Amino acid sequence: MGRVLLPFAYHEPKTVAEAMELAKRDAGTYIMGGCTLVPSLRRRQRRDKCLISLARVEGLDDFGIHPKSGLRIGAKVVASALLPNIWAGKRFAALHEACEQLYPPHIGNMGSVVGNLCSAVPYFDLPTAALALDGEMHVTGPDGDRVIALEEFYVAKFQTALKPGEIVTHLFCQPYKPDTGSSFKKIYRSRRTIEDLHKINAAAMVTLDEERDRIIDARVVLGSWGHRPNRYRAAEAALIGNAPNFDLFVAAAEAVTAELLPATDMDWVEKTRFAQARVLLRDTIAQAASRAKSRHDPFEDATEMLEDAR
Amino acid sequence: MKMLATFNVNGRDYDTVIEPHMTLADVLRDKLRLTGTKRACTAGNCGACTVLADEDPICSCITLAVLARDKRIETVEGLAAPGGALSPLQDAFVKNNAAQCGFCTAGMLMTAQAQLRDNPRPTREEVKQSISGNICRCTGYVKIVDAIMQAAEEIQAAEGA
Repeated sequence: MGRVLLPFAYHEPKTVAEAMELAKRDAGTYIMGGCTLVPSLRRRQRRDKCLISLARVEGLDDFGIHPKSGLRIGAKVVASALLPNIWAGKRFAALHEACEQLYPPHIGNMGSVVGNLCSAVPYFDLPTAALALDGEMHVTGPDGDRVIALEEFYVAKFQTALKPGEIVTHLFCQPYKPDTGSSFKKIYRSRRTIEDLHKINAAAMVTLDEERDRIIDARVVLGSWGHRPNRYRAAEAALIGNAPNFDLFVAAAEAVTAELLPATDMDWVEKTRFAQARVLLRDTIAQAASRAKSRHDPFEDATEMLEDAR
Repeated sequence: MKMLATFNVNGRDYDTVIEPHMTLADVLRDKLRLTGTKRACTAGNCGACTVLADEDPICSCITLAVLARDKRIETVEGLAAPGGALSPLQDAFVKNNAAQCGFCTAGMLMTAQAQLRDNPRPTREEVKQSISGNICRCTGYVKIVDAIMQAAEEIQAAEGA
């Protein structure tokens, strides 16, 4: 890299209506922190002629996380805002962990959660975590307001279901059911290289019944594999109705990998990637189940449960 | 599309003419002549460009300057006292030989400064975690972590005295 940015027009609207008007008039792109957009402009992956900053737009800084009312994060809220929030850690652990593990850590102080989700980069962490938490994007646009579930939000690589001019006002996740736990984990290819992006990431949400000995609901998501993070319903079906134990988690992980397609034609790469996906999914589901069982401590890991099962 | 902008850097207001496509690192180095902040990867990977915005570390190479106008910016030039006396953190870096080529040092110092403000008694693991976004290709990090730990102790001792 090292190339300079090409000149562009820049607007700083004060209201959502003004921002949409500018976007329509100048075919502008919205920018919040710019952590994804600025490097893309520099690499000439994008050649936007007009940027519209949402930094001064009023009403996009909602921030509310509570076990009874769910999670609501406005378009201007940066990822590091979630870190000190106790309910984010306890009740929306997958998203909290994804924000905590952002690399480099400085990004969390600059980039917004919604911006990260909207950039639709296939290997990003927050989309995987938010999909496991059943997130939905609340959108306002020239044709009115609408809600897009994250599952329908990602259309293709770098493409979302947003129409031109639409603004995501906030991300909303439903409050947890009782006895629910979630978890997020990722594997880095290596550390401290320019391609230092995670190889695979996974998130899971598990709900147990009242006695906490059967799984009644589950969401299993794998990211960085294909063009968007995906839910794997075969694995979820394998989990639901059964008692959480090590063998079940292994079987669910196998069910996911059975659906995956290889990304390369190199046998050894695929063997490694599939093995990593199996282990990552197994541990992620185990940790989510462990948290559901213990009503849960965000810093607890699944090690104890795995040891018991062995 | 030139515009007049005011930046609050190290407690002082600077008026300058910028363009929207300039990054904060460009403005600090080329307009305000505060060349302590380094441009290296220009992609937010290496941390050499780290400055503090409202006391939080950010990568100035991928932050558009227009988005940083209403923030309080701190750069490495603001660490030393006005007379030139080094801050305890800078002093610890010198005493521990925590720099070889020194290119990453400005970013390391700013990240460490933010951490010591948030957490005056960090553990070694916490220090390693906080500087994990700052890459050093010379020292192997041990001396840098030593320096930050020593600075934390000295700041604590000075405050307790």
